[in-house]
Amino acid sequence: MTMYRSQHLGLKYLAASTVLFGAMIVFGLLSALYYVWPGFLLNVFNFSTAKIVHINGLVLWLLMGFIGAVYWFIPQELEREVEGIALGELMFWVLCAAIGVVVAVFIFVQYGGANETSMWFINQGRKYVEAPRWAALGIVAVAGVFAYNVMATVWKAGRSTGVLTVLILDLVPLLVLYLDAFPEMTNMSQDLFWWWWLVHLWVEATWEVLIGCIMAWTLMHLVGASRRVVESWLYVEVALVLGTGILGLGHHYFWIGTPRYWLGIGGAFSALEPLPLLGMVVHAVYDAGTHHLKAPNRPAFYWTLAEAFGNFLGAGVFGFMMTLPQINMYSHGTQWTASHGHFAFWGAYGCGVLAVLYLALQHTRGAETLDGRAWRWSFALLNIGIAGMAGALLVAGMDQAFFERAVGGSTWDAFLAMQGRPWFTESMWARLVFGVIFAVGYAILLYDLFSIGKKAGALSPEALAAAGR
Amino acid sequence: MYTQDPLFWRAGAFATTAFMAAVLAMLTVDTLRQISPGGAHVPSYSVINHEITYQYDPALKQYGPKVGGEDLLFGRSYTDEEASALIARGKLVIQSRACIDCHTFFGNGAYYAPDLTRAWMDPKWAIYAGPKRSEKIARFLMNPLRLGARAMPNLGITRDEAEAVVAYLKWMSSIDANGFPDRFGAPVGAEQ
Amino acid sequence: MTPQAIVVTATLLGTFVATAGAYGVLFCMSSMWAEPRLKPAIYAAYAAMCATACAIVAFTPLHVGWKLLVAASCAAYVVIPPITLRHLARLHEKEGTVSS
Repeated sequence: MTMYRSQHLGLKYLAASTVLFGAMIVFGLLSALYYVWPGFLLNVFNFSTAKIVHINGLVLWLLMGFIGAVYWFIPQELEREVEGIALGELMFWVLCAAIGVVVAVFIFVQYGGANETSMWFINQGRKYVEAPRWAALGIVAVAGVFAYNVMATVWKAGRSTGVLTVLILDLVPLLVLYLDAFPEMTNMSQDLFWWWWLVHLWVEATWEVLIGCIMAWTLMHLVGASRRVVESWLYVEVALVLGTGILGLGHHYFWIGTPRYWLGIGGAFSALEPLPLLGMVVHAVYDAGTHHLKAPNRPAFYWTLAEAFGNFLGAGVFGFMMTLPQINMYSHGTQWTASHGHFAFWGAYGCGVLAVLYLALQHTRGAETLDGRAWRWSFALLNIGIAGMAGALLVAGMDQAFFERAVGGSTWDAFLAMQGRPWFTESMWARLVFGVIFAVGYAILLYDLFSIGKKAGALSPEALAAAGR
Repeated sequence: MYTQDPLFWRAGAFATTAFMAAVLAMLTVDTLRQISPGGAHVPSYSVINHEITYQYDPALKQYGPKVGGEDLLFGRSYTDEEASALIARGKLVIQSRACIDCHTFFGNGAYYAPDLTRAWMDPKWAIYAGPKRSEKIARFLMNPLRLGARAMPNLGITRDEAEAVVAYLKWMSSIDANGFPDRFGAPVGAEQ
Repeated sequence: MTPQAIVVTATLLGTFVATAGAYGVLFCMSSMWAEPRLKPAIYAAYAAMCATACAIVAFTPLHVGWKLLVAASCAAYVVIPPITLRHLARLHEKEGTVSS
């Protein structure tokens, strides 16, 4: 089937995203190993280096997945090629090269001295945005071209759609917020204040709107949902998610030196954040019901459902458990946070990218239907893996909140004693085991992505005839 | 019915977003004022010339830092400009070594190593030989010792970088974080 | 807060949202599939959600403002599924895309 150039670029981004997903898993397993093997690779390859590659891999695999999804859907949305696509194609390779260089420097150079050279070329040392400034500039350039591609296409087409308008409006704050990846602020309170604008207003605001747009398109192409329905729903989602999420930013302002009123404001709006997520779950069950859990593309359908449920569980349930200030005082900065973080990222974003991957694959393989056994194994193992990791980290985190913080008074001795407590050490082993299960799920996913839809039975009679069989 | 019209919900989305963004902007202006050095929550950098302790405040019903009398760092008094420059260098060291990817600051970061918010005041420093706490911390940074289950790597921190980090930790420990961490250095029995 | 109260309160809070989710899903499934056998499960999830909210209000040392928020959230979680379903059904009816 003929595809737009933009869709070919989308596939490249989705493929690169899948590779980065794997790299993230490798460095995640490595990070987990340090907890169960004291002194492992000390002074050779420290925990911080493994963690940096893990969390930067997380951000980039998801971002590349989003960009790929948009390049995939836009030409179908406007029924025309994307404007400036050649530049977009170039920037893809620029981004891949930049990622390669940055990761190589993280791994082989690791640290520099306390000077501007380190900030510009080695490691900026701020969580999630450790990439040196030259690379941050590169990301701005790539994102700028991406935004240009989207907006110029709408401009040249002379029309837009509801979903596309929401996406474009969302891209502006999304890009502007990334400016926090550059400054080096002495005052830690001020540093963290602005840093949370980037991190929270990405993952609990602009990214939510972005994945909402992508899921709207996915539903249209997957189950033939009507544009009017998905757009109406998207507006409701934007109102509720941003209505709770913008001031929900305050739940990161409890303990960083900011005024006390953030305890009330942040806690209250944060506590309301699960409400729209329940609405999304209801919507997902409704869609599943109207289609009797059947769709021509079963893996994409199930990953779409997983997106709604995973978002509610990981972000909603696990988030609500720890968000009220009286609890958060003790859970803050423990494995409890990591438990919520892993589950929420997976549910809110990981599942969505995989849904789009399978949707695109059905198109490229020319398959009328997409089903099989391998995707079910991968679906089960990935979800069991993440739930197991989140559960293990929750046990460890609750143990920490109890003994290290509430009882121990959060001193170094309390921390060190905690690391040796049985429930903590057993949880670290359990996390590693479930991480391996997750990794096996990924390996099966890779196999499935290479093979699904390629068997003769999955091809329509017309496609078979065209293939000369 | 107007609720069936997508444009009704679109108007709601715009209005809600705009309103919440405006409130956030207003709160940001006030917060930035209060967290600037010398503001309500964040002392000026020359606080490193003073003693800093962590005590329970019955009025606020929370623990918090208390700035006391003179307690010079490395045996000298720093002017505001000198303290500011030293602490700025300390932050550059912290970023260049990516400390936040093992430790936490105000509970933000990685959970592999201890929180550093009140590290200046940690009772652990009593176990090291050395005339003053600032000296003990500086020596540790240049040559980290293994502490139980967790070992800190040697990050090639020089003497002047170590002093800058110590100044940073001392200044950071004086910031009012609304009671975080609770009961620092004052553990209680589990039954209470 | 005592250490025990932290863990118990957090567990109740998570259970509250989880049971709200279970109620929402079961309510929706029962409406979609007209399956009467789901009714006991719906009532059980609804009861569990309300009981958890009551436990949070009555037995946890949270400040009164947070307890009021939990109670209000409970009311919101009760009405979100039926309102959402009705809205979705009407939207699809207008499009003629409702399937039996």
